[in-house]
Amino acid sequence: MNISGLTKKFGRLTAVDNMELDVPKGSVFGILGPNGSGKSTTLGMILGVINPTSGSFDWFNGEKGHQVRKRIGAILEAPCFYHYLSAAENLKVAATIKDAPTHRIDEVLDRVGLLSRKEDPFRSYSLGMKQRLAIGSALLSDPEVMILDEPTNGLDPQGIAEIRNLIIDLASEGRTIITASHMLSEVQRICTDFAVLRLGKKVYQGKVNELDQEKARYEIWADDESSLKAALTESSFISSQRKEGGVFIVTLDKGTKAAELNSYLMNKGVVLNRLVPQATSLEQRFLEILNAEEHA
Amino acid sequence: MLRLVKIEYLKLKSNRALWVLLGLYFVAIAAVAIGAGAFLDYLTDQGVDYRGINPSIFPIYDWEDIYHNLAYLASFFSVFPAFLLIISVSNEFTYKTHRQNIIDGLSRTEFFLSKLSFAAFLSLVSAAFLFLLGLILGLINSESGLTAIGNSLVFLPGHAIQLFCFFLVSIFLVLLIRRSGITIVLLLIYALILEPIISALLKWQVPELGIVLPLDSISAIVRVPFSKYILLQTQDYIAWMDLLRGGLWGLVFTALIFLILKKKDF
Repeated sequence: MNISGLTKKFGRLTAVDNMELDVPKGSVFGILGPNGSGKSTTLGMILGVINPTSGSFDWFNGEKGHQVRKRIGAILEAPCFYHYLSAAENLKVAATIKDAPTHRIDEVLDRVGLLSRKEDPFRSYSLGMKQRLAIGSALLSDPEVMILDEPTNGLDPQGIAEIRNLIIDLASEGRTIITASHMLSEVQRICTDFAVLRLGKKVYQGKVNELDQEKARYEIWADDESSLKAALTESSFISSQRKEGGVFIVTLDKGTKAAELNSYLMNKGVVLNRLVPQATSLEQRFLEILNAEEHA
Repeated sequence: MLRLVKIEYLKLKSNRALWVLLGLYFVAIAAVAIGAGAFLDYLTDQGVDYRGINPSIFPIYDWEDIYHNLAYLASFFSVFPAFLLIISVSNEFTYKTHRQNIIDGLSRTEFFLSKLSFAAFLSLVSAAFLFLLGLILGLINSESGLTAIGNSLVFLPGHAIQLFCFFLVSIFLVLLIRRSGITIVLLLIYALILEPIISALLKWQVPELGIVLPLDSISAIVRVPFSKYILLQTQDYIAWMDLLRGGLWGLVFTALIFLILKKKDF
């Protein structure tokens, strides 16, 4: 998917300002940004529900129009279904719109674990079930691309875990997934690429695994504390080290990999029994990016 | 096109409120149509007469008049199916399913056509119902030969067009307001109070203007039939001018509906 120069103005407010975005095929793409940064408006425009003020976008290298949306599975904000219809009836409406075969209905309901509840009306569903039904509906046309806006919003930890596993499975089948979320730890766990939006503009785009390499922090420990400390102090590629609780937190220089740290310490005769990448790096990076933008 | 009607049908088939409204519409028309004859008999029993004519001989079920009478009668109940359409559109906004429909791959034009084709379908069903009702009442009561039916059959398509135009006004209003309750109240206030007042003022100030307001024009497609029974001159056909005027308003509202669906964010 490709977006160029997309802009949306609501009166005097510019919600999305000259957005440029490229989502590579096969990626799991996280769109991050504070509230009001234009995430949902951008997704709304590429899904045809919001008319762009200017700019354009296309799918699958150049396809436009409403027919292409049938090949995309998407949920925007909350799951939207007819409350008085059962899950199966709701999916029948969606399947008819998408020109998807109706035998897929039971398949996708099974996939999201709702087959036994398929005759129950939508209004009797819990939030987690509604969210799963929405993903099921998005799967009806066996889409190559899925767009999930805040898929874990308002769910309990168990619900979040269910959705996360579902997304990981869907991605492993080769689908491109675009997701917008506040939950940075979730994005870091499931995404391959991410972009940061602020005030309707894209301020950063990168790969999640390069993020760790750019400015990687590790939690390390060795039984021989004093020689570990000495080795860390002597090294030339560690930008900072600090003892936190029972471990050392070290930050490596840009471009340095964990393997280099490990082999350096081995050469010094220090054997690590703990080397853990710090999982909070996306959150830190995200806040750094936003801070840098604010002061720019 | 059939796909669009099917989508609407799937959305509505298990909605009880909608079936109740449709049921009320048909039962009300049938009850009044059948009751009218009994009422006239009752008046005769009470000794009522008009210039020496006994009411029970008014040939209201005669082949020559039956569909004109039924079409006129039905127009009083057209708010029931109109409410049904208003609820079906406002439901989309309440549940935000109009957005999901678009996301799932319906174009805005298709969304518009699916609502309009359902309105057209309802108009045809109503006309078909009147045809059957008239056939039954006519077979039981008519004294003239079946050939006279030709005169009044034209009121069936007339009824369908009239109903469809009224539906267009209702759909336009609910697209603008998005809430069924307020829309229904506003539609009733406009139809029963506002337009009659404006219409009366216009008639008083510029009498040569004739019928111009939307609901007036639409209801004028089928003119009052009963005046003929008290020997007044009655238009017992559908005038091209009336059809044109009502149809023109229908087109205006179609254009407005289309404009709203194209321009507004969903």
